[in-house]
Amino acid sequence: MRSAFGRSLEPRERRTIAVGATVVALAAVVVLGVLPLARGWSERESLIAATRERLARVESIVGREAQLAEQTRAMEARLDAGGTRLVRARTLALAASTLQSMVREYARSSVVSVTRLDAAGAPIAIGGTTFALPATISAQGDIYGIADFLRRLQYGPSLVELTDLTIAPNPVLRGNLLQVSIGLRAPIALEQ
Amino acid sequence: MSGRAGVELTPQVVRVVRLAPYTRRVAQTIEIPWDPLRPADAVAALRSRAGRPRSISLAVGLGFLEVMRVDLPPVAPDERVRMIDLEPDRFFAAAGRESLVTTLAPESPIAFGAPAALIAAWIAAFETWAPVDWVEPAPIATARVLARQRDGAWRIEAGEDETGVLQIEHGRIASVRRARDAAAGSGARAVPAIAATPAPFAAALGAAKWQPRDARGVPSLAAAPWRRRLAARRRTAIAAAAIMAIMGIVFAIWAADRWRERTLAALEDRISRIETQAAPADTALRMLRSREAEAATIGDVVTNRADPFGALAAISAALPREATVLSARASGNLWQIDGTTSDASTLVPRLDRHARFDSVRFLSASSRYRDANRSYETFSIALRFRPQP
Repeated sequence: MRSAFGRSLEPRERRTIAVGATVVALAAVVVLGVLPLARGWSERESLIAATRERLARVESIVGREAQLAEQTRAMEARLDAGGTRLVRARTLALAASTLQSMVREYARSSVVSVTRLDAAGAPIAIGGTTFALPATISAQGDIYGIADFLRRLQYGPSLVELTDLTIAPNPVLRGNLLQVSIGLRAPIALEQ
Repeated sequence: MSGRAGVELTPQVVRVVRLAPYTRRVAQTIEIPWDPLRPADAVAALRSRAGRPRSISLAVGLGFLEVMRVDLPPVAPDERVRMIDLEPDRFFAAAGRESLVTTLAPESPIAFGAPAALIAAWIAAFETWAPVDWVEPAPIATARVLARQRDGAWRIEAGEDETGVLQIEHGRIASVRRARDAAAGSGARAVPAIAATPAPFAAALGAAKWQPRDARGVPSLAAAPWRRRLAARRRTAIAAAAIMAIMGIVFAIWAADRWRERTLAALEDRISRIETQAAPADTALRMLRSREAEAATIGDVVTNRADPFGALAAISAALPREATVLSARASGNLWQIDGTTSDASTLVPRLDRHARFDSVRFLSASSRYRDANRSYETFSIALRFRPQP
């Protein structure tokens, strides 16, 4: 082997070049071969594990539809007996709409005037796969109406979590009307 | 395929020990007379009796060897052999008469020389039988199998009417002598049989058991061109073995990859067949899980949520009748109430006594004012409401 300067390479130089070439070759094999293979292998193993789990789940329920339907009915009855259910809808937008209707209905029943209702916020994860829709309400009413409105929100048939509340007299309004601002979160169940 | 063979060449006979391919146990021993000047005849006879071994190691008998204790600088063994090769007549008297090939005993100052022409002729002849991968002095090969016994002086075969003595100390060759006086070996022990191999085959056995690591940097007892050829052959063999190993690994990985791919395909195929049957049950299960999740969410939220309705009721009940709440603000269970009363200082103790309040404190200074002949004081109080007493 001759160098670029025309002289023969010393054994030490040849060794250095050989070691360098070996290191480069090994690095190339690791980076271009071993690592992608390991990554692909790991992903496939995860997929196999997930598929096995899914298969085991599916196999365990084949032919048990009657039993599962019965359990579902029993659970449904138990939830109904509890008096409080989640807002249920196919999509988040429909759930927000349902929430708005519910608030309007409570306000009408409590003789409270809702001046602003915002249920267009991004859903909040409240653990696992469950989400809650945030909403803010501004309303006016007398002390009895507002108390009834709060009671309906708190103990109504749809589950609502009141997070913020401000009650103050509104000097602009005549009589004993109060101004109330309510922040709430309504956990939702998306139907599949 | 036959295994490896060790061949000891003495002035009178050729001894061969052939090892079994994988176990490396002695499979065959052969001894035939030969004429060192006509090695092809011996090779033909061996071929007919032993077939073709995988490779051969030659052990050159003491009868052909010049032995000398040399005092050389402490450099690498191959460098020391190169020094001897540079001026062989300085170390070996015979070097003046004929060309010698030389080598050293591993980790020892004992040097060996042998006629270069004879060695070349033997290597060429034995290469027609099987690849020759090593040539060494017979005392080194003998010492290899004797080292497991113990140190001492051993009587070994030399030339006709000669006695050879091999001295081993600490597992290394300390001296090798050949003498015409039979009494020279009187203090030495005869080489014993090694396992089931007869004693005369010790050198051939040692040669057969040679492994590259045994050389310990010492070159073979052969001319430089053959050493280079041997090194190149060994490199080729290593490269071929490495390529085969890499191919084996790649094939094993490929096979494992196919196996996992087939496993995944089989699982997906099975699940696609069974999912159709399980669709109604799957729907029912999803509904059940959904209801269970709903129940869990309801339980969790109902347990932990704030209760402003209850808090307002409790605050109303706890405050004195003359107190007027002008505003109330809550964030979760933390409340701030502002208003007026006749004596603000009584409010904090009063609220603090209540079972459902804690952390009761004033948020700002109280101001006194008069309205229609009555005195009032403002208050701003913070407290925490306990949803469940």
